[in-house]
Amino acid sequence: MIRRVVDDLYQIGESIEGTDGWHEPVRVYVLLNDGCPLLFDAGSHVHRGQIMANLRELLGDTPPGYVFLTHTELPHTGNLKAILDAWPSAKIVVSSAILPYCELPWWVTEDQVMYGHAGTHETYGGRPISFLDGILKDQPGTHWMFDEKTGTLFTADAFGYFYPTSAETLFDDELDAGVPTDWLRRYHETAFRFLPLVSAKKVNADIDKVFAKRNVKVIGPTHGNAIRHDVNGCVTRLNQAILEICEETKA
Amino acid sequence: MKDNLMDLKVYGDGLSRVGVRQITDKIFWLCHCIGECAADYNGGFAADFARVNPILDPDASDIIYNSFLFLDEKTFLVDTLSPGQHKTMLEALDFILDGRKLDYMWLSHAELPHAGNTAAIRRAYPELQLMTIGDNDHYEVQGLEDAILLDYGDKVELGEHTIEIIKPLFVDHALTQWFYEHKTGFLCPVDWALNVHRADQCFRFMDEMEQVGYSAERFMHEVSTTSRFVFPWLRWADAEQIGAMVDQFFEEYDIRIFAPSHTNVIRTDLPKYMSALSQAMRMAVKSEYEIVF
Ligand SMILES: [Fe+2]
Ligand SMILES: [Fe+2]
Ligand SMILES: [Fe+2]
Repeated sequence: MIRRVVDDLYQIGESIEGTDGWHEPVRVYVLLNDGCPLLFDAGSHVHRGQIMANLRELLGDTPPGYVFLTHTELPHTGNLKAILDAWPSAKIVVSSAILPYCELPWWVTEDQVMYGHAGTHETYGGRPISFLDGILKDQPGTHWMFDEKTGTLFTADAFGYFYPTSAETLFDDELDAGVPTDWLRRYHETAFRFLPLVSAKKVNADIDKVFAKRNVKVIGPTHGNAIRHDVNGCVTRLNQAILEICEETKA
Repeated sequence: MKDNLMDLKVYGDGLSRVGVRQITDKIFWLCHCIGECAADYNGGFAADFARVNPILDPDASDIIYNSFLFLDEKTFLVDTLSPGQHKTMLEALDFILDGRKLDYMWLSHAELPHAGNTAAIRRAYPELQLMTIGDNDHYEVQGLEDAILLDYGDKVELGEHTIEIIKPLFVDHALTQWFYEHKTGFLCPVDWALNVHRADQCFRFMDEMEQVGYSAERFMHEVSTTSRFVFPWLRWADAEQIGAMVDQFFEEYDIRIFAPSHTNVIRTDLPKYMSALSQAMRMAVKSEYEIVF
């Protein structure tokens, strides 16, 4: 599925339907970036055929310049080999907080890898991308990235949500009242098992700091559809979901 | 330096190196670390840790990645090491198994350094049964759609050894499980208690680290710092609550072999090291570790 989010930002990737009927999407975001496309995460191996067909359709004859990985677990890297086989000139950009010899597939060569350092920004194909620590994450070497041009914050697993089949292709403005707290809660309580041990207030204060520091117009979660309309409302609902998970699951 | 490590066997070198040590007559330790390469590859981490906590040795930059193999009536492999060690891991397994089949491959969690050789090991031992933790969904995106799903409290009988699946105290990835083996008091607490060593101190049990100047106090300082990287959520936790949780855990389990994924295996002086660890976790919650927002 290809969907245009805003400007030159597109969303592809499919979802997995669970035994309870709730879907977990695994998205890949593409910034077309005028001749040097940038990909954010590589998608799941389970969706390889569809992702590659969509990428070919979207990119045409233009090879992607860079594949940014939020982190290196299989749901984010499972389709990486297909992408690099199709476009061997693409470079991979990972967090400087990973150890490449243990946290990347063995066939990735050193000259294919570049490192993003939290607190810095670089230009890739002329496009400034800045890096920050993953604030809410399930793997230490996770970074969040920000595209200044579209105002998109790529948040890896955070801001993910499970949804019913009917919401498969919908952005927040196409839902009745944005992404519901319940959908965010379902994902976050599954993905971040440490939440019952922490203070919701502190988590939410850290998340708020990220949004206070930059003008985020779009959130790009790997396990959710892009939030492009009501970013503040979505942050508020995530705060509420975190509060419920932390408080209600405390012993 | 390896002269006194009598039983050590090392497969490969550099980034693929895997050492094998024997813990008991039926439990083997497969240990990956990169020795002389560590300064180049991990030096940035060591420097960061030493900046956060100046007590730490910036030259101690080598990090351990562990896998364990139980040779009982059933054979039971704990984690796979990472894709970069796929060949050496298979060589080491082949040596230890010595013609036996691999019955179980238990995955602590679905991250590359722990599960990244799942496919390669399955190809070599097609009859093995893969084991992951239950109570989740969407296993196919993790490549675990045909794994046996375990619950906390489940027991896997290997013969003499009984593996009990236990709820982890400290997690990163959601699909994480720990285990305790009843006969030997072997605890595998996965990512907990990461410590570091220098390039001339590889493949040592903790008691052998003491022979080259290491101590429980050093362990405490290292773990108090590395834990903030491994479990960044500790900054949102309460030190006393975490400390009490750890102390209660130590009361519940009679740990005689402490065998995490990124730590020298501890087989002697357990009370000394466990009390250092309890203290380290309290310190970790309170320590400063810079976050870039
Ligand atoms: Fe993740
Ligand atoms: Fe981990
Ligand atoms: Fe080493």
